[in-house]
Formats: sequence, C-alpha cells, structure tokens
Amino acid sequence: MRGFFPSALAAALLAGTACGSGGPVGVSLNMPGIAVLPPGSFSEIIVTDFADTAPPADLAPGLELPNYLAAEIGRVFAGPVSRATVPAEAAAGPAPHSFWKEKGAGHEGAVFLTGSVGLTGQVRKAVDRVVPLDRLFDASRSGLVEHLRWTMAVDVFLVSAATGEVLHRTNLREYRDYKELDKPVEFAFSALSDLIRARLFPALLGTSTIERRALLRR
Amino acid sequence: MRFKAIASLAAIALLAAGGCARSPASGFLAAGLASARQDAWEDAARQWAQAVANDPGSAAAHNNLAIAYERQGAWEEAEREYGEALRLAPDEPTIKSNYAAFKARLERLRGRMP
Repeated sequence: MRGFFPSALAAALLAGTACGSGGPVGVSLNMPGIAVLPPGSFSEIIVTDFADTAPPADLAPGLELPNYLAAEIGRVFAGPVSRATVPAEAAAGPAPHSFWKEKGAGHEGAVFLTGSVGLTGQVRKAVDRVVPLDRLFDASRSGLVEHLRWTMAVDVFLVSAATGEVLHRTNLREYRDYKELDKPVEFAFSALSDLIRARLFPALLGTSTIERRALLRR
Repeated sequence: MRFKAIASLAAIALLAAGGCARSPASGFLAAGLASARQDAWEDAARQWAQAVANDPGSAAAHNNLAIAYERQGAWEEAEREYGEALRLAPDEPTIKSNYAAFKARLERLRGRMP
C-alpha cells in the first residue's frame, strides 16, 4: 500500500502527458498570388518609359526602372515583353485612350505598363541606439546620428492596348536608410527597384509569395 | 488488497486521461499534419476536411483546413473556414493571428483597383 500513492501519481502524470504537446506548428507556405487582371486577359506586356518626378543628378529612374521591370517580367511571364518609348506626359497622365490605341496598334492583346517614378534622398537624424556606457551622460554627445534615406515612389498604370482604358492603377512607396551619407544612388536604386518589383508582381502577374501560418494539433 | 490497489490505480489513470479525451477529429488532424509536413497539401486538405466532417466543432480542424485552402488559392473557402474557427474559438491567438495575416494579404493584393 505504501507504493500505491507514488504509483497513482505517476499514472496520472503519464496519462496527462499523453494528451500534452499540443502547441501550434509553424509552417512556411508558397501561396499563390492574386492577379488584379483576370488570367488570360492579356498576352503581351509593353513596358514604357516612366515619367521622372524627382530624378537624382546622376541617374534616370524613368528609364532604368522600366528597363529593370521589363527584364524581370520577361523572366516570369510566358508571353512577349517589350519596351516602348513614350513622352513623359503620356506616361504620367496617363495619356488619352486614343494615344494608347494608336501606340498599341497590332498588339491588341497587350497591356502597357506605364507610370511615373520619383527617387529622392534625404539626410535625416535618428537616435543612435548604440551609445557607449562611458558616454551616456556626456552632454557633448546628443545620441543622434545622421543617415541617408532614399525613397522611391512609383505610380503605375496598366493600360489596355486594345481600348486605351486604364485597367489598374497602384501607388507603391519604398525606402532604405544608409549610414554612409555618400553612398552612391545606384545602391539605393537597385535595392528599392527590387522591393517595388516584389510588391508589383504578385498583383500584376499573380506570382506566389512565401507566407507564415500556424497549424493546430487539436 | 492488491487487486483493490490495482483497480484504484487504473481508475485514476482513466480519470486523468478522460480530461483530454481525443476528439473524433484528432486522427485526421494528425494525418493532415503529417501530410503538410511532407508538402502534400492536397492530401492534408482532404484529411482536415474529413476532420471537420467528423467533428464540426473542432476549431483546429477548421483553422488547418483554412490554411490548406489558402495554399490552393481558394480564398472564399479559406475565409469561410477561418470564420467558423473563430466562431468556435474566438480567443484562440493562433487562429486570430492566421486570420489577420490572411486578411492583410488579401487586402494588400486586392485593394489596388482603380
């Protein structure tokens, strides 16, 4: 009888653990995108020059961004992808239906990817998170550091080559901070173009994205 | 005396186990998890749909099935299953978090029409 209570306790604990370990299971999923235009509604993409709303001195994002987007779209889109030159006013407007119909003659299954882009740099002050302990109370040190923030703002239109109608419009804005105030603009342009691509493609092409979810065991 | 002790021991174990009785969905839930771990999401969806059929009150089964539907791009079905999971377990943080991520993604991708 002396061993009864420890044995009973052990049995109860064992039974309890049999239904334990029920925490959620984290999973990473490759989820399909949701294209803003119905599948099959266009068979060709013509990427035009973008209007430059705020070009930096030594870079032309209105040309470089469409070049980059056209190359990247060509890697994932099954149909033809080409570049076209249009006046900045036509891209930023966008131009009237008749302009796009004329420009798209012979490419009725195409959509134009057009719009405007601004790339601006700004030196900003921010709180320095790493202040040495021996300088915590040093009045000469304010705890502020300067960094360079590059911001890319893109206004994108999808225009039907058949009707000249704007099928979709989106505004995308991304920024990157750099500690080096003399960081060449090309670095920021490259990083920001990639962020814009990552946001634009799921909506434009329905490309998939990686998502985190948690499954339940019981 | 000895028999009495053994019987009492068994009764205690059974009582303790009874507190976490397996639901009719638990076998299918586990099978679905195993399939999902092997990236066999269609099979996982089948298992969790069966779990829902066997135990419509299982919030876990609805949650998991919603995720499988998301994986297939079946947004309306996913919305329905998340809704049911939240109705059954409105305070379950995992389901709330999954649903918030699902809604945010849908709005991010859909909310850009002119």
